[in-house]
Amino acid sequence: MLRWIKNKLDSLLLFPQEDPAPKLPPPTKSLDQKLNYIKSQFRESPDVSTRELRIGPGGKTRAALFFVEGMVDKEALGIRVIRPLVQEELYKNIEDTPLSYVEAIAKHLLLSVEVKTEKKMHEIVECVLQGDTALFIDGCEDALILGHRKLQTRAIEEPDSERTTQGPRAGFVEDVRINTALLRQTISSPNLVLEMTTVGVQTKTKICIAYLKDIVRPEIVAEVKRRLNSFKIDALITSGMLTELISDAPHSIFPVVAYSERPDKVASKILCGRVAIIVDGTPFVLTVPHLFIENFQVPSDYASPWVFQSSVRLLRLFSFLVSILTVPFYVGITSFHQELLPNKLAMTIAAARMAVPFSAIVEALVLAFFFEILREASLRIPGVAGGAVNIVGALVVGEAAVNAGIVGAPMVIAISLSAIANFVVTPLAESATLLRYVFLLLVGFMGFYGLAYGVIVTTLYLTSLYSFGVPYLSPLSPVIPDQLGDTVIRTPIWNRVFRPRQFAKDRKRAEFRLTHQKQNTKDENH
Amino acid sequence: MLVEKQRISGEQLAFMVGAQLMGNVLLIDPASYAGHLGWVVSLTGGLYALFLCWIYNSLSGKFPGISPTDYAVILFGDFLGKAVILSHFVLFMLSAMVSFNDFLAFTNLGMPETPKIVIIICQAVVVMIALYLGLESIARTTVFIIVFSILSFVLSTVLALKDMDFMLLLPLATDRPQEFWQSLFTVIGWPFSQLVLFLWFIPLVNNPKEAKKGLLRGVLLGSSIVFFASLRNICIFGDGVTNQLFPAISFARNISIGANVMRVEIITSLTLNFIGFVSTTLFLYASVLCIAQMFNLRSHRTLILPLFVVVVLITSRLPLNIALLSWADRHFIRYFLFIMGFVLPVIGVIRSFFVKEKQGPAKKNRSTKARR
Amino acid sequence: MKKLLIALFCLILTFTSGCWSSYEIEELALASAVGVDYDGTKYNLTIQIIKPEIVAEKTGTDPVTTIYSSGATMFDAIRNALSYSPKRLYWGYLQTMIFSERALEKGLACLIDFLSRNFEIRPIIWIAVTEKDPEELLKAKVSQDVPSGEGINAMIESQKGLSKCVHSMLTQALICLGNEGRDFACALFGTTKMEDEEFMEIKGTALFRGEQYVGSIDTLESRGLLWLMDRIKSGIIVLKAPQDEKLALEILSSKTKIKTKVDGDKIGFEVTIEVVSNLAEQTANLNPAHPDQWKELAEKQAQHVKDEAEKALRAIRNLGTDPVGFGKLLRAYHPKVWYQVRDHWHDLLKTVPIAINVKSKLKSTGMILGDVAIYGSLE
Repeated sequence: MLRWIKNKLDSLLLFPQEDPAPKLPPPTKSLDQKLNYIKSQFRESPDVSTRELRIGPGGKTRAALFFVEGMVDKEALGIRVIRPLVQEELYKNIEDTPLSYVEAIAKHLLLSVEVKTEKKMHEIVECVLQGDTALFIDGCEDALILGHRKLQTRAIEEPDSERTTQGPRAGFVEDVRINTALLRQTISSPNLVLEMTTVGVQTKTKICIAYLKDIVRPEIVAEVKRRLNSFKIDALITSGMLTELISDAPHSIFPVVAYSERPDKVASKILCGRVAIIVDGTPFVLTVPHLFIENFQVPSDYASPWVFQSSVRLLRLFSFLVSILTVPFYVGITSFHQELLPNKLAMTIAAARMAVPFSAIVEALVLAFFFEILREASLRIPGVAGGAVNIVGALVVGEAAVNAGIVGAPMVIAISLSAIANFVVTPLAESATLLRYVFLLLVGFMGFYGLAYGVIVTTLYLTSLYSFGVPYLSPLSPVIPDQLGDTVIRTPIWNRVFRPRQFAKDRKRAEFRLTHQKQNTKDENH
Repeated sequence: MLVEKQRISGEQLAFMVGAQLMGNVLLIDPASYAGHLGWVVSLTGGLYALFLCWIYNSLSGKFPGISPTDYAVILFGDFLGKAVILSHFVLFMLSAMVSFNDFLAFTNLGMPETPKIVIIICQAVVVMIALYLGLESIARTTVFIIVFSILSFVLSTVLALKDMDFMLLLPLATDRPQEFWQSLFTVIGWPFSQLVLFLWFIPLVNNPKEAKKGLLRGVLLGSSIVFFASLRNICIFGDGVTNQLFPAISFARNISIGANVMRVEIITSLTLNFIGFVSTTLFLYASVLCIAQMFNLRSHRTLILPLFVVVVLITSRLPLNIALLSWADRHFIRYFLFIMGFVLPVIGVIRSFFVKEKQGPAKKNRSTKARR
Repeated sequence: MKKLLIALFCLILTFTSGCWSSYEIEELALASAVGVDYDGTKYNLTIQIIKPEIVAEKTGTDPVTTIYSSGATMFDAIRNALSYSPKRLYWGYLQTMIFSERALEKGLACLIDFLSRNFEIRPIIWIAVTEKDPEELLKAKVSQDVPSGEGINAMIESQKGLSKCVHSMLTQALICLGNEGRDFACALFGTTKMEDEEFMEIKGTALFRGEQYVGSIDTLESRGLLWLMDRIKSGIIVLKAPQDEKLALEILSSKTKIKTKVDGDKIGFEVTIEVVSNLAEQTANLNPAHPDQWKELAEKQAQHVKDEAEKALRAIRNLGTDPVGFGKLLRAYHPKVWYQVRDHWHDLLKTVPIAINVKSKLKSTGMILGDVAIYGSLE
């Protein structure tokens, strides 16, 4: 009973993402007090600066701009803020208005686009530290927050990790505003909701939740918001950290939350009824819920005719299996179940293994470990040398090792095949590597029976995973017949009439009257 | 109140029933003892299974959403009901361990040097993981495994077609009727009377109508595979099938097409591995549910570790020479199975017409919205 | 606590990975062919082992080592071979078992019981019988320098084009021994001298009655037997034409149907053979365009096939064996009669009337019509 109460309370408790702010000055009208506060807070950081002005008719009123150098567009500040403020003749227009002084300045004088008023000092400091400019006016409690940001961001280019053959070459960047703009460009619907929240006490990272409100299930959105509010951390740098915090199964080796750098991919996921989470500071956008079969879907699947792309999709599934199972199969066959080899192949492998001093399992582990070192090293070496290390390492060292008789040639082939197949399905690369080692140890222990047990446990585990309330292996595992069109093969577009039932509440998404297709066949019959 | 909170769908129940029927029969065909008339035995067994299906459907249809542990008490009275449930529990544990032992005898062929206890522990750990992860996981994994098994069955049958001699089926008479009747009685006991296991799974289906359809479909699927398996074994071996201990494996080893397609037995071995796992898991799950329901536990997970110990200890005592089990079968196992699987449910159905239901029939126990 | 248990379990697992049943493939001696002989007290085995490095690198030297071992039973002899080999003998790649006539004296079951019980030996190996010593046979060469085991395999496979012997695998032996009504028949090997070297040759078919070896028939009678057993895949029929000329017909397909004719106690069989063949070679100046001559050719072929089949039938009746499966047919369609006669079936078979009818058809003549020598033929 008490536990139930405690749980209920815990679920209602939200963690405010700010410090309870003990040292904040109360709102004052005095400019000097505010400036003193700023000077004392930011004594050690000269980039947080202030610029005093004299505004008003006759320059009687003091004012100050408070901003961070390097984050503001100084030219725009000068033209749109300082110039109208110091031009005395403009003040004649606002004398007669009944608005307060600050409001009048805001509405009539300033040429900025974003204008807000704010009283609390800590909010003002937060906004300024994110690139806004604050205008303090002596004698007014309110400060004006103007947005003239000029943040450093890179140009929009195709993401390295997700290349396509035929599709847009845009990728997300690190600024959340630009990312949301890219999304809006792709989905122009008024139903696209982009809710902003902040996570991280020190970093105050902005997070944007994107979904289509007429399609998505409200319980999924509510769950996302609940999970985002269920922790209070210091800093959130990458979306990987967020993944760990909000995922259903953070210990699992299979990703339960998807991430992507491409706006078209994220947009199509939103259109299916999923929720996208854009994190400021990283171009990787998370989408939830995530299904296992999505790891095999890439945007270029819709680029070519469906027959060809279906076979490519099958190839991808097959290469996932190859990357996991090749080395265990090889070790199992040569160590335990030699009767499975055809005669000639058996002779070749036996001849190749005669020079090797280790047993197959040891050889496999050594070589696999070596390949992992190579892969990790090639990620760190800058520039052209990185690719060279990969090739040099694989070919030359492998060849030298075979000639020296430390490893056998078939094992090198098996390991390289499995390593290459690993990169075909990018989101599952780490899972496949881990599974490969687990299966390898199991096979070394008990031959193919160990492998069978490993497969059974993996299947059991996969079928028990849920991602935000949706079974991980659907639409294959609880079979949903109208969704099977995009799983193992990719059926043509006119078969994709319904949205996924698991996360969309408004199901029908298309109607087709492709009479031109039927017309063609009709003509042939005549 | 059902202990198990998860629910399965009717199709998943069908696959589970098919898996259990196929389970031991693909490994050790009990109808093979009848020689070339084994297919008649399998066919009769299938008809018996359909009859059983009808009985179980009517029995569980009278108590929708209530576990057999509870309605046995209603039907048979307090003491007798608990005795019935305990004997069912013993039946399930023994069936699990016997099916486990059959699988051990099979692995002993390929890997004779590996000590039995190692394989027992490994398989028991996997079964315990399955029990821990719950019914939904088991049901979904079973669907995948059965699809794989049916494909491998069809593949090996098609590859062996050229070696099959259909005349070996032919004389519909036999001069050894004794063996035919022995085989028939064995088959009625095992595997078909073991369908009583699914009385515990029927309340766990989303919808009682789906449960009935699922059970029927599963029985049809399982019995047809059993029938075709014994049929194809006879086509290859003829009367010699009585001598084969593992007909499916011997069948797969005989496949040779050209110089390349020779070692199809690996697929059959994997299939048997998977199905052996499913069979053991289903039996142990039913036994866990039995006990958990009887003592009204919060969750069945607390029973997993003691179950693991019991299974490992007892299975390591069973003999690897499974031919010895046929003696036990002839003397008491088949009668026990028949009583548990047929006699008691029939009595239950008959009594359910006369017993006034103390609890209302509308005690529907669908606690959460069923996740498939 | 749970995590501790799991960690302990994984740790123990890594230390106990004894991998009891693992044998590295290079540590195995791969046996390819085995010859079995029996000298009255013990079985003498000749085991041919292939060296994989020589096969893989194709250096041209002999890739075969031979081991001789003996023992009181088959399995005993096989295990004793370990004392002559540093590597563990592996039987997964065994392709042929050759039995000598003496080894078969105690019955076929003594020899193949071990083979069917063992898991390593696959049941699709060839069984062959030899009149001489298996040791000498395995020493004889097979052309193209392949090891004898594979050579025998290849020779038997190519018999399908020649149809001169009945070849059987171990599975056939098990089926014949496990079912009533049909007896086992397998290939008979011998050696011939060609250019001062001994080469292996298929000499015919060895016949059994139950598990007892009863004798052999030569290649012509074997073909007749194949006609009766419906196992002809291809072959050549040589016919005589007037003026001492010969014609060769290539068999395309054949089908044999056997019907039982049971009338109360009287048992009879009717064999219908359908043959379709091509004209492959002729020097008799036959004109295929002439319908009469074509028909006559077909009838000659029918007669020839009937002669071959009847010759084979006489041979098997003499030996008192039933490899064709007449008993199996009787059992399938008339079980009551079968149960009465099965104890003395082999004697009864000698007297049962078996009628052979042949339907013959000729298909085409190839690319030319008549004789090649249109001008300038022999006077």
